[in-house]
Amino acid sequence: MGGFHVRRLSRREFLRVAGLTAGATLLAACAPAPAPAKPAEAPQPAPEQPIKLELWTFVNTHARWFRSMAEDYKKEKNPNFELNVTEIAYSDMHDKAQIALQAGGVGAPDLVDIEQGRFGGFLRGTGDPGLVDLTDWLKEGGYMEKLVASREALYTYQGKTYGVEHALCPVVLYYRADIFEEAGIDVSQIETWDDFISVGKDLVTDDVKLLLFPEHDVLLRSRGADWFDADGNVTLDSELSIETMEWILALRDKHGVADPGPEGNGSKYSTTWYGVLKEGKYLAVMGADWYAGFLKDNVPELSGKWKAIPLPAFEKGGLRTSCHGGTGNCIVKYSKYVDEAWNFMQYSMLSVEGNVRRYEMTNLFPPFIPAMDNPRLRKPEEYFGGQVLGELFAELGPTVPPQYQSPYRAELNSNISALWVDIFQGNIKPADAFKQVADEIRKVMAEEGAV
Amino acid sequence: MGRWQRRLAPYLFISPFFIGYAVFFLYPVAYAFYLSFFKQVGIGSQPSFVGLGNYIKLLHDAKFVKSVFNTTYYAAGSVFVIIPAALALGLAFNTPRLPLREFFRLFFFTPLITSGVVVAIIFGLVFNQPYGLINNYILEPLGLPKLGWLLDPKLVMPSIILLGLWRYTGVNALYFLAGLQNIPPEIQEAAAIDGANRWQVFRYITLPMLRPTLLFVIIIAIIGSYNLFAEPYLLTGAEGGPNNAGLFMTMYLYLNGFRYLKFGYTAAIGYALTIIILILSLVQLRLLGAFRED
Repeated sequence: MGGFHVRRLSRREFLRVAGLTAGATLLAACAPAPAPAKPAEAPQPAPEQPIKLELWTFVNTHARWFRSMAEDYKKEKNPNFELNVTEIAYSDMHDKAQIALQAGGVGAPDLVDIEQGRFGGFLRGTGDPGLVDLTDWLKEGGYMEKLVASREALYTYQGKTYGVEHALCPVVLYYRADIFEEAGIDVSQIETWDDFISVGKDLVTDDVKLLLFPEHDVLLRSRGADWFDADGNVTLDSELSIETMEWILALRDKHGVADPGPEGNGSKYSTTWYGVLKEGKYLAVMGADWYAGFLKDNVPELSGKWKAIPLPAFEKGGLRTSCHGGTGNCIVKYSKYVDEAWNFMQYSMLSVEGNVRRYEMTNLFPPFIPAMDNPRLRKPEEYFGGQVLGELFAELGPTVPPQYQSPYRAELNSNISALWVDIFQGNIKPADAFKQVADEIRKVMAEEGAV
Repeated sequence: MGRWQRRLAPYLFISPFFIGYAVFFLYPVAYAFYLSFFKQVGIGSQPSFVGLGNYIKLLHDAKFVKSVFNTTYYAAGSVFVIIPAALALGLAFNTPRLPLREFFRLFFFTPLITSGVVVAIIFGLVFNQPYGLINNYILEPLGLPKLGWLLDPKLVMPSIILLGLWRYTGVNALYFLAGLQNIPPEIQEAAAIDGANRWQVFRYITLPMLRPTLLFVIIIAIIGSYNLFAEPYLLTGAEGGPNNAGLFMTMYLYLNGFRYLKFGYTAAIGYALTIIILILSLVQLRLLGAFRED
């Protein structure tokens, strides 16, 4: 009994000592990590050692292009260079990247593609996204004048540019040329949405719709407004915005030519959507340059049957395009190889060859001005019935409207996305839904002292 | 010295687990509690003390309240739909002369060993409105309209419970089977000889003797329901689909923490979740008499 008592005491003692030791270790672990060394001062490894960079992207077309550029970079510039391109699904990649940056770069890649709709979220709070500020390098290299300024604005905050845009993102209307031509419709006569509806109306049957509901924010930008204004104020519930949404609903309710797609949520990226597209149940879809690549990848069966025209305008003489999406390539400031990453970025994102090849592989029209006139961007496209899409994109390019970045864009997107189905089904009026979300975001902004 | 070593040795052998436990569980749990009293938003931000501010904000957050409602809806489905189904299945498994008994046990257990991600993706196709299995092969042949399982806010939670029914009934049935096999057949036989019919045997002998199993299954089901994430996230999207109809508490936690980077607020959601589970578990234990001495 006594022996047992002694043993119990020593066990307790042991636990106390163990607890203290573990506690001390934990406390050491909780201490904030030392500030990362400035990227430029990071020691560069000996040249013989292979330099392995990790790049994250969420688009398979981007991944293909990056791999191709990395192969040539290895051949031409640095034989020790290796780029591992990891494709991760859209939401997951952005969530993971944010968390890796918040964790001081633990598990973060060296280079990362960040979509403009999510970029704002990286600026939330401190305004320092954990990415390398490229401003000085872009200025020194003379790249600022070569890049379309309204596109770079998406990745610029408080005068610091953190990313280089992949695409100009001019929006056009893709349509089933085979069916339009068979019906004898001359698309060159289409100038406004009213024109489009009146000529396309006859093609609509019970089973076939003329158009998928166009995305609200994209249409709104073609009318010169957006969900945020240039100063970062929420303008989702502006009169023009509400009217634009009502106009979209009228496409179904008044004209009977469009609907929110097979899943009722307006998605144009799901397998279900591509399925009905293959069956010929929709004859047109609004999309940016990159959507041409999506069509090729996901609906190869309809090769040769599509063509594109400039986006119809709301009024005669109105803007014939908009901008949709965009993705910036960024360097993580915790990377061991910031200089090498910048070199690769110049070789791929900031070169004529890189931009031209990207168009060939992905249909992303370059936001890089020296590449815009390249003859390789003027090749007829088999998928689009021999049409030279590059000509159309180049023609619309200079008129692409700006889009304003906000640290609250990601949360606004997230909140409004839960309401689309209700808006489409008429359960909530556009004015009420937009007011609700706009107020939610204004409240968050006020709480975080952003106003 | 030798004695010390001998005494220390067992602790050293088990220490890898406890060190891992402390670093990856105890520390985050304690730190999250601390963080729940702070406001911290965004990459590279520092926490600032707000006291109970986050918890008070939660009570006024309509989306949080909705997520509590949705999660409780699912938990109720789990307790009142999935568990009775599992009990029925467990009784069937226990029938001595059931042909292919082993096969059925395995058959109903396999959904659990499949990854939740795969299950959610497959069920996304099952519930699909134009092309889905249920609408095209069950409802349409019966002349019923195709339902928007994941589109109609009223149908989103029933859809997720259907998924849960498919996935979790089998494993719960196995728990019940284990409990049933612990009941000595003599007692049931004695009752039968005394003139009890099958329902009476079940109601007055089998069910009371299954109480410990029932208690275990219900508590595990409730904890599992409140922690469910992968299936609703993948089936309905991070926001829980139309009108946040499928937004679970874990998903709201994920949205705030991993998408909006509101770390302090997220920690408070985590603790609210813990408190709810704790209260429900205590109520369960009390209702089913776990504290009763007998």
